[in-house]
Amino acid sequence: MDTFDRIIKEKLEKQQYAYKSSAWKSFCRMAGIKQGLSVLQIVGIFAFTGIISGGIWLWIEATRPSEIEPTEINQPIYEVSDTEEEYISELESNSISDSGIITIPEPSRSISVVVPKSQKDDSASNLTTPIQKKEPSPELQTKEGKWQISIINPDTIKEN
Amino acid sequence: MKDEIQKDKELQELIADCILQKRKAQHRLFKRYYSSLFAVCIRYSSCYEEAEDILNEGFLKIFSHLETYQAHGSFFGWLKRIMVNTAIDHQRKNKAVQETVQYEFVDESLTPYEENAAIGKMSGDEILKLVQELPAVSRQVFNLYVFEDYSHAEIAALLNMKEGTSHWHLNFARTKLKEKIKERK
Repeated sequence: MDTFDRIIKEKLEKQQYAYKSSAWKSFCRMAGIKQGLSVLQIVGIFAFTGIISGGIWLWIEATRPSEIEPTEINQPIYEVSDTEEEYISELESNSISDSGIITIPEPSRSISVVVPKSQKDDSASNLTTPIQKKEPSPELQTKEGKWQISIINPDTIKEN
Repeated sequence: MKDEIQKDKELQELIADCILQKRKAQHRLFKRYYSSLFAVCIRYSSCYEEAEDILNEGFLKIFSHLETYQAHGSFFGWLKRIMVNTAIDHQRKNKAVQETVQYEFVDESLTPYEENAAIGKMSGDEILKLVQELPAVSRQVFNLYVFEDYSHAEIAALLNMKEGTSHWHLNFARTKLKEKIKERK
């Protein structure tokens, strides 16, 4: 072997050929070997199936008619005092401050009225209270306190 | 120097598993020696596809004859010998590939120093291409003589030719290579 041959040998023996997965597949095809699924392929199949089924589930959820769920009351419930005096005093303390500024209670707050059983009938009777009539001015009233209709004859009216 | 097999217990286990036809072990062995054995195959072939065919045929022989391997010599040496024989068999089978060698006079105007300097500047891929362009039999003789360190008597026996013919093919391969280097220059 001369120098020329040696140079060629050295150069070609340094050549590297990276492994390709297709080479093993090609060998398996040629040798008639059936290949199983690799771990990566199995993971890929699971991921693909998960994405597809997740997408279908989301689509079903999006297209389903919405059900009205009962609202949970988590706000404070105001108790109304049983007696009128207590109610008025509470109202005064809530609505009018010392500085004279009127504070309006929040409209969203619901007030439940708790009525004791014993007072149910009384309260019902209170609802039938007669409507107050507007009292007439004192000039229009007669001495006896009764209404009088006066008819004026136009002939009797004296001209100035 | 201890044997490669004795040093490498992992390789021993791998060979044992391959003999038991365990697919994963065969894949590991294939992966482990792919690069170095493909380098052998591509030198004996004219193109990449032919080298792949030789490699596949060679590995099939390796897996089917692995139990005949006796851990006396180098395991890679054993694999390489199988691959070289497969390459020679492959080209013997494909008789259509056999080409007629033209006897032509080559004007060698470059001095040996200039030739060596020119080839020293070339890349491995460029040299490989020149080797692949050689006629099949001349390429085999050149490869066996230069890379496998075979004698002309061994080459003649392997390729079923006379020793003189082996000499001629080696000289022809060298001359052709030098001619191509000159063309490039």
